[in-house]
Amino acid sequence: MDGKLASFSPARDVQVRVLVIEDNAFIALDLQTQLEDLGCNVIGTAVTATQALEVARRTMPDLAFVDLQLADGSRGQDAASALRTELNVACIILSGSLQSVTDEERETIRPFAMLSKPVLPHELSSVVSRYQDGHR
Amino acid sequence: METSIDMGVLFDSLPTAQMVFRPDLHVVAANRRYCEMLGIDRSDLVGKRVFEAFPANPDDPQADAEEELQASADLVVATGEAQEMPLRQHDLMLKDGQYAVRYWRVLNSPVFADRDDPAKVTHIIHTAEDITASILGDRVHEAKRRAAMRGADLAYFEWCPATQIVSKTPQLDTMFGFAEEEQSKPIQPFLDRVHPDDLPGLEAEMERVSRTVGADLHHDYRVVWPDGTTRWLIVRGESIRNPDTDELLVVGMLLDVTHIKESEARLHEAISVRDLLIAEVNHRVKNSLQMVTSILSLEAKGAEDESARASLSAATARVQAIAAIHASLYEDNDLQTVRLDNHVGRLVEHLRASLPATDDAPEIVVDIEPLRLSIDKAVTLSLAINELVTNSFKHASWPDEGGAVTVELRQNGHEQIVLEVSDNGTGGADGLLFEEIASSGLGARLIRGMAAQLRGTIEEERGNGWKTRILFPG
Repeated sequence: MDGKLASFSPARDVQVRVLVIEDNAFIALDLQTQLEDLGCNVIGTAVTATQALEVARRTMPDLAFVDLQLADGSRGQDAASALRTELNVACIILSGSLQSVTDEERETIRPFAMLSKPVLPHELSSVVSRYQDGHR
Repeated sequence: METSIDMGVLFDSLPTAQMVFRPDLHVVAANRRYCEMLGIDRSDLVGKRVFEAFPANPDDPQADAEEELQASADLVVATGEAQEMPLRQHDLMLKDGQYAVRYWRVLNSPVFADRDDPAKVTHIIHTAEDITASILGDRVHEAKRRAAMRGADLAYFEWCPATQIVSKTPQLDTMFGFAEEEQSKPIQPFLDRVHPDDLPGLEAEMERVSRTVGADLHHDYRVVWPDGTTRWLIVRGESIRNPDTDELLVVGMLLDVTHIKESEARLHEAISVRDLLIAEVNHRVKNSLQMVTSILSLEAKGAEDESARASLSAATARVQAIAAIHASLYEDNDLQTVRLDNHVGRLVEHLRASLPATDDAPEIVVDIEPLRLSIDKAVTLSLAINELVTNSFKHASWPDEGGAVTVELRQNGHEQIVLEVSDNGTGGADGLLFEEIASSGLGARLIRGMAAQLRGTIEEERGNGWKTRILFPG
């Protein structure tokens, strides 16, 4: 399917496969819509850290958008750390409290970007094209 | 050479206060210094018994000076040797009948005036020194020390590093959770109760101070009592050389500051709870704004009707102008104000990306001074910029080259800030001029409302290109 679509969008040689980890339904849906408009393939969403890992193991995404405070009290930092160490998935952290990520966690996660909520559309598009440029 | 000098004149001129009495305490002579010191006429003294001239203070329970003097005189007579009397108080009656406290050091020396019996003590020279000042000085000193010791939160100690013995006031025992004792003790049991984390530091400090005479001791540490109670102590002192033994002594005070440390800890806790609450509220605000912009943008994308979609897009842009401020809030230590050059830059980036990017679309040029503004005003200003720039984009046509909307913000003299949004476009959307759009459109009403909210005034110039200026107090 990717190959077929790619042939229709010459600007994007390969679609970026994205996992959205966000427990707020509106934000998750908006993010998914915006990312698809930007040419990404959103291959899954998750609302807890555990679920994020399950989905990621199954779908092997290139990139994950990670909110920090997830449903059931689990932490986006833990999800992102596991994604990085276990599956080497790049993460973009997206939160209203970026300062809660410790230096140690940042070292483990090596986030591709950290965006403060509320995220403006142009910030999202610029970080996505930066990723696409690096992985063409 | 004149060698003869009247012995009476000599006696009278002696700088020490002296009085001569017989063994039966009758006064036979007193020199000028003595009379001056006691404030008495010689005639009131000579020929009388000593204590007729100096009646004892009836309020002084220990006023048995006469007996003591008689005993001393008897001893001088018996031994033929001078006797120093025990240091004592004998108050002096002043001319007005009141008694003044006086302490005396007295030496009684024998006089052998009987040529026939040279071993017989005939008179006694009484040399008196008024030491009231130094005695009272010591008393004041003692009283001060006692006052300082009062209460259980201050103790005094002397520690001898050579013997490891500490002499202390009983309060020191209390501070370490021991029963109060008066006597000196080895220091080890006290050290055994110092918090293990604080002991190396304290020992190093004691070691340092006991190496150098005159070194200052200054250390805070905790002690843990057998029941688990932890107390905070401060020790302040210095090392001195004991003049009697030539040994080095560390003398000082111990202060129990547990209550101060505890209030400090409570304060720290309260501050961190407050910081946590602020962070939580901030997080919720940002998340809620994200949710609102997400809902609006989903609604806008889902709208079938063109004008409904336009309205929702405009609403989304307005909320995003507010959101832009909140994402950059609390990023530095200043929680009250926002740096406008950073913030407006972010907002304009957003406008560039969201406004139509046709080939003849104008550039957005930004010239913002690095002013700080309160959050309330910054939010209002963001919305004003959003409306004004969006309005400018409604021009029908732009110059072939260099079409631009310029956003300027600068300090204008004292405490006034000027926002100026100008462009070089011509004609309004559908041929309408700004005035016509402005009078009917929500955007223009919002601009007026926001200028009012900033307590500012609006100046507008319309010709080839529009220029709108909002002047408001900073």
